[in-house]
Amino acid sequence: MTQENKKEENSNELHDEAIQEIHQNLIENKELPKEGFSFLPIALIFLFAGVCFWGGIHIVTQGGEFRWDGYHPDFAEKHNAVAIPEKSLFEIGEKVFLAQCAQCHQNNGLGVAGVYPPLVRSSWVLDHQEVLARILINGMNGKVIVLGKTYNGNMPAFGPSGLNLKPKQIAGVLTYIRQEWGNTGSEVTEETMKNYMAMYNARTTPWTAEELYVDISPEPVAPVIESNPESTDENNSLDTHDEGDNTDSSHSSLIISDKEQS
Amino acid sequence: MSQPSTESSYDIRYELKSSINKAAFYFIISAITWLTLSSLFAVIGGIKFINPDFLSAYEGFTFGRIQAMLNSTLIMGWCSNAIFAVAFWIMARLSSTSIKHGGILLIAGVIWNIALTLGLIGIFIGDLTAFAWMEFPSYTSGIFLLAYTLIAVWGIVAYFNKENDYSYASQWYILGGLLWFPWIFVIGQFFLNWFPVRGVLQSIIHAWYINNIFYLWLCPIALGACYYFIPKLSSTPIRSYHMSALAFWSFVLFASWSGMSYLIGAPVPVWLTTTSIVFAIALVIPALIFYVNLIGTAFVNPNQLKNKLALKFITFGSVAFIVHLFIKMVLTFSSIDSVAHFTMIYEAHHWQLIYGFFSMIFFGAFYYLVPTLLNHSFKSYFLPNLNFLLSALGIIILLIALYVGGWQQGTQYNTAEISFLEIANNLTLWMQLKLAGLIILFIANVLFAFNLSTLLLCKLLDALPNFSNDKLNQNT
Repeated sequence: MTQENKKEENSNELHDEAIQEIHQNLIENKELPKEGFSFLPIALIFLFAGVCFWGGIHIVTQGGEFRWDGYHPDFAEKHNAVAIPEKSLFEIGEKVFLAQCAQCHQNNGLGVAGVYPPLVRSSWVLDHQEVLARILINGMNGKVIVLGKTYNGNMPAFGPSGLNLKPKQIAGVLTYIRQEWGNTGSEVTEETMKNYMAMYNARTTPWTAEELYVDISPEPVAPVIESNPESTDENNSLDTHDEGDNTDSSHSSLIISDKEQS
Repeated sequence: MSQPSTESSYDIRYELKSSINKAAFYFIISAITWLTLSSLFAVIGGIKFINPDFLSAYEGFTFGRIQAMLNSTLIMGWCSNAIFAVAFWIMARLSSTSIKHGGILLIAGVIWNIALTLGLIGIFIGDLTAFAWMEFPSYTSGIFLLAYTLIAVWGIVAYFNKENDYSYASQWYILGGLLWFPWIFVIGQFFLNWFPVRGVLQSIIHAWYINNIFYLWLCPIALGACYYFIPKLSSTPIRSYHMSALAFWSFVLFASWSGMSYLIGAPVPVWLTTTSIVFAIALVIPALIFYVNLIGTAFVNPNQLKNKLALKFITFGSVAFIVHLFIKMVLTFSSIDSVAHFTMIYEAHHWQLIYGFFSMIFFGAFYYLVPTLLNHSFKSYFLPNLNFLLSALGIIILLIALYVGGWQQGTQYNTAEISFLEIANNLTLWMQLKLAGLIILFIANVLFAFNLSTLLLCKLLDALPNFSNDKLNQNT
């Protein structure tokens, strides 16, 4: 493969002018349609579309939502799945208490001597959940004896006839005042509070000290297990609380026993 | 070579010779020199994997510095000088014009090589940076940039002085590569060396730099050479040429976006790697068009392929490139990446691009260009053909060793029962195979240098009496 090879190497080789000429021809006269069709360009269009389609989906599902703090392909999925951590009843109650109650009962829960009764170690607070719930939902007026001193105040209502707080918020406040400042009362659950509200929302007059212990139902020992998921969701998402729904839906045995009594 | 077809083609060639003759030879000779040196570094590095004590008494010959010198001589020495030689020549031919100011080109070429020499000395004495493929010390980067500006501008000027009012695919790639390189280089130097960014941003910019140096500097120029040489040598117009514009734009867009796939699993915002994976997969489109355009054209006349040395090299390189692109796509699959990451597979992937694709294309280009420039062809094609066989054999052995060995390495990394030391010991066979491949490549590269320099010497010896005759004639 010496001389012959060399000859072959040099023969039938395109010169640059020829390349340019052919190139111009190619540009001016696009390939004429032949019989049948060229498979590749059509396949290429479909492939291109397919790649774009897949790529778009891939970027959306695995692209971490284009966030600087998304570090894992599963970010979008996992990130959306994570619920915002729920605040405890105590924390909710603290917030509501400081906003609504602390003007009179004070931040330390000691009230103002002779005008606003204290909450610390008060039997009204620590005794029966329903008593406390009645006061909160409908308010209270008239004389009341707290820790040996007589007060004659006017406690406003926080139920629908007053400030219209949600059951969860009232339950939070009750839990807070029963457990803060050294108080060691039980927790008032949202479910319990819903039951009480179903019972007393209709009442428009405030309670008096004498009425408070009349007709009370047995105090729930543990949180009511028989919960109603619909109403829970409703309370998480909606601001307004639908009473009708609540009264219709199933409740704890509390209500039934109460109705039987009355 | 012999018998120019028309008078005009002779004129063009003559003008070309007169204007950039010296500069072209300068770049060719320096490219060959750096290539030989780099493969020497590669062999030293390969020996160290089998016998770590080899040359380890000298700090400059420790593995890290040898590897840094290998990378620098490959990219800035062999690849860049080869690009300056071949790309300018193609640009001038296709623009039917000449490269002007060969003198400035020559001086700039000298400056470029001085920068590289300084860089190598810097690496040897320990001034290297911590970033692979840009290890040359930051004080040389300004010199590189200066030299590059003085060199590249003439290629771009040649394009804008073109006499015909259309452009050819080769010209797009070469013009693109010439314009993209300084941008990539400056961004890399600016954010990693001059005013280093902090934290993972460094890794992101580094991945971008490596990717773009490969896919927007080496690849476009080599593709430009393919689009020029394949139709020219096989005497066949490019098949489905009308799709080459789509291939150009899609390759440039997708390849430049696909860089962050090096960082799969790294603590970087995941949208970076996800978009890169998508764009890496999208490379299937240009890859298919390259297949039809380049390999389809080369195999139209298989006889040509047998007889033409340059075409053999270039076709081999094109096939290696298509395979490289498909491996790049496969490496982005998360199931594959979980094995392949941190293994020799990425090293293999780089070798495949730089040697399997780029170097093979440019060997072919040199085997065509040097005889043409000298107007003097090989007496025997035995040694050049041997060079092709050795290069092909060497790179195939090297790639098998690194890909298969890398896969074994990756699966063993993922098996908790096997200790790191055991994994390293299990790789001995593959390391020996790798060294064998590197040694074959070294022999092939030396043969390449030998072939071209004998051609050069023969021409000089032949030219001597003619030269004196010419002088005599002029004097009388």
